[in-house]
Amino acid sequence: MSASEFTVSRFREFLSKRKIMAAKCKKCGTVNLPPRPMCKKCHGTELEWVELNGKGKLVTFSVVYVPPTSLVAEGYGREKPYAFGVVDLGQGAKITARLTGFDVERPESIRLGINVEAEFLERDGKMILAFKPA
Amino acid sequence: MGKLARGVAVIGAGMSKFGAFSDKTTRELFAEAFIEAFNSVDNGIETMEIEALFLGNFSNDIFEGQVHTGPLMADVVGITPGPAMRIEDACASSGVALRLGVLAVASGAHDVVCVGGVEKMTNLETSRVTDVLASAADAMYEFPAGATFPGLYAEIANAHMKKYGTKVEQLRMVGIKNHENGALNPKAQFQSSIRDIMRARIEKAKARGLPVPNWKDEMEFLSDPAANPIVAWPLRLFDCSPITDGASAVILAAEEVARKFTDTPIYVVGTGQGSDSLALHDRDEFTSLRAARIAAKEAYRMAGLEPKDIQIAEVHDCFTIAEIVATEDLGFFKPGEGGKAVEEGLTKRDGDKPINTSGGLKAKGHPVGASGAAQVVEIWHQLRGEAGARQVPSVEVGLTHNVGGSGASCVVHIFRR
Ligand SMILES: [Zn+2]
Repeated sequence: MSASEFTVSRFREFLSKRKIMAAKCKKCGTVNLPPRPMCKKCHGTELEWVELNGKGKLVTFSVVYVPPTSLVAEGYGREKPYAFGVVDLGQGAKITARLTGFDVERPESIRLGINVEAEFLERDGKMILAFKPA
Repeated sequence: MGKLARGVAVIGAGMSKFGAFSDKTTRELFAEAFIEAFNSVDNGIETMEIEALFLGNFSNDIFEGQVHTGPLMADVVGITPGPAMRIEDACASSGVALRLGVLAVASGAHDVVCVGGVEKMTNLETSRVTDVLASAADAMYEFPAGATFPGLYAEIANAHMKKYGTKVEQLRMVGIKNHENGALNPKAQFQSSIRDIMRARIEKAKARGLPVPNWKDEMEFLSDPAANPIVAWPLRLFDCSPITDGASAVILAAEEVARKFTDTPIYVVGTGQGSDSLALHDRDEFTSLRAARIAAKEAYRMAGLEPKDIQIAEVHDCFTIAEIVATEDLGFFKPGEGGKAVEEGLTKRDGDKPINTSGGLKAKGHPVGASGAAQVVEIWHQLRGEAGARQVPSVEVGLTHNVGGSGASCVVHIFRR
């Protein structure tokens, strides 16, 4: 086994170029998102980068009113809650991301299963993956 | 998959008062728990008879800036120079410490050991505690997205509600029940029912000449955003366990020597542990914890028991939804029926399946690394008939279920009188 290129830092590099890249297993075809050095299904190490089109479905979510310090620094809090959730990008590829464009004042209006598409948010020179209603 | 090479019994158990103690460090907290456990050994024990310490602790690195807590605590309670170590599996730390202690005794390596846990959380402000707790989730992918611990369990709650129709009222009933139990537990952080809390708020408003809220009952109180603000939708303040300082300690002995220490040993008849991905997005399902099902299956198999045989259980209710999911994962209720079971009162002290008679993490408090072993303290008292006002009549088989993070670790133990 050689050192893997399917690293967190590579994923972040791609993200900074507004690309969602996954590690597809050459053996069993599993799309590993986030990328990982071994296929989560067959544990093989023969992987290749594939770009996902950023279209998916909202699997579940929450609207957070008590943020960690990093999001307090972004201005979020009880007066300004934010949403995050899990998005299914197809072929079993799921990822946790920020949600934008949802009515966070009325979280009961947010429906699981709706179509969403990727958005890329720049925060302090870092790119954060987000999804908005499609 | 196996069985214990020899029998293991709990011969003593104790816990500190749970709460917020600005004047106590982990040292005093653990000593308080240890001394109670030590004194609870019916026929007495010498510190030199305790051969090792397995200590659960989640994040004293950040909370107190002190690691190496295994030997530190062993030294504080006078059980050095034997082996002493800290075990970290997030909120399952001391449940896992218990399992390792059980395995160490069962293997024959030790005859008598202490397992326990300690956490001192209230030094930090809430947003920093939120950071520390979130570090038990996936720090590379979940945390940057804005996931918090309440947020992750909120994701589980939303998925459970969508799949099974579980209602927020059912979540609130978990909190109401656990506070009613906590009101009877002198060690609990919140020794008051939600009704008592509601009445106190009304009295306070009257005394201050402020507008008096007109809540009819607990459910109205819990539906009022002013009284019960959202933490992470749909979870509100009273759906969340508190930030707590506390410690727990349990003394284990090999079956061969247990009767020297007590005529009423509580045997560990089953132990099981499972793991899963840290990130929810790496799992196939969000309405059940696979690690919990794996842990439960192994513990039941080892004990030769089924869910129906369990007469009382302490489960990991870090959030109200977690208790509902736990009672389904443990096989007490069918998937999706945990909410209904709470509504029907089945999990109350006088119900078919009393859950969290101690008040649970919700009311007793959740000093993360101490919670797993503290669950054993309640089961030990209940199975010995020493639980006072909370006693469930004639229980002989009990279970503890301790989860780490959002379900990446789970450990289940079954005890029998
Ligand atoms: Zn594969």
